[in-house]
Amino acid sequence: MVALTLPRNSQVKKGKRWQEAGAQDVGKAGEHLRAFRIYRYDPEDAGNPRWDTYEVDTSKHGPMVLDALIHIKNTIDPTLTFRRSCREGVCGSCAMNIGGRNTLACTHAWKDFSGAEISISPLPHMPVVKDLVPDLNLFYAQYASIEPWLHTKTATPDKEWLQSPKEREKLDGLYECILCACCSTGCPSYWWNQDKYLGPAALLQAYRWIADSRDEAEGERLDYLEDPFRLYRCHTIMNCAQVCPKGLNPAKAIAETKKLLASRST
Amino acid sequence: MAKITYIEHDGKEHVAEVKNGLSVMEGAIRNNIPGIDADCGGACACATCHVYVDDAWLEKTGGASAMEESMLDFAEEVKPTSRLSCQIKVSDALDGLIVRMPESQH
Repeated sequence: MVALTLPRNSQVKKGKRWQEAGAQDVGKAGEHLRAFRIYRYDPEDAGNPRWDTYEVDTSKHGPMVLDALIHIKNTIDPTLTFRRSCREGVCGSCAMNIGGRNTLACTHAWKDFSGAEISISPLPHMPVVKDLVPDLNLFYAQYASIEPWLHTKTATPDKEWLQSPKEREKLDGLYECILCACCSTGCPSYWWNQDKYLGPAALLQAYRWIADSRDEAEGERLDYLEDPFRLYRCHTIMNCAQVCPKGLNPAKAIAETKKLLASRST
Repeated sequence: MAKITYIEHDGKEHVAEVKNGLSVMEGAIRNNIPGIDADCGGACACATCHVYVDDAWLEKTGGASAMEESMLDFAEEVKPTSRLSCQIKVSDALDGLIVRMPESQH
């Protein structure tokens, strides 16, 4: 990630070191002690953001990074703030940057991270509301802008809109997106131009509706995307595909959209 | 240290002293020279630091690697003198280098 010089009040300072009661004994024994270095920011406190380190006895909580965070909040520091809900990788709430990589805290085991400390910070290049909670309003507005619902012109059928299994297959690899924002906030083009570039998540969803056999607004959808910034700021850097915790490939969906636009204009 | 001349598409010239070891792209970014975007930060992953190397300097900068060639496929108006400036490392041998920027990086 590119490190720019931050204004003085945004520079991240060294914070407090918290130790779980009894953790020191564990430290002597070795194996169960683990340090989590966590980004802290409180908007109500005039101070700078800081890195707090929590020394935790990992034998007291579950296998995932989210288990560790919940354990820290419950037993060491109740002020630690983060989003979480389903704890099984379907809601996308606990997306954060863990060990330098955007991912879901609930599907990554702390054991998989090497090194003495595991660094945890909010999704990068987004305004921070508090601690590990980023402001995703723009991200959601961009998703809304691609109108993620079925657009039809023909009369509504008596029952459901039909789709063959083959047509349905085209949505595989697209519909599974949980809107966790790992991809968009891992995309350098999105970092620099998020005011104008829709970002991989919204573009993957835009293509999900273009690819849907029941949708009848392909032309309008492509019109909206045909813009030097909204779509074409994707430079196939591929960070999106690399970080997607669901194993999806937004860059491919973007490429398919570009292909449709190219074949439309010839 | 090398003196590098960056010429924008409209002919506007910018001269910068760039330290050895940096890339030609970094020389432009650190000196706020417009015309080079460098979205990916120098990872040879986005083709937004596209430049045309002056004919006289082609031999000294050398050619593009296979990876750079495949990234250049994503750039517009690619010419035989096209390079990605993040992949040209500055050294004393490049003192006086002249590069031109394309009209747009995207």
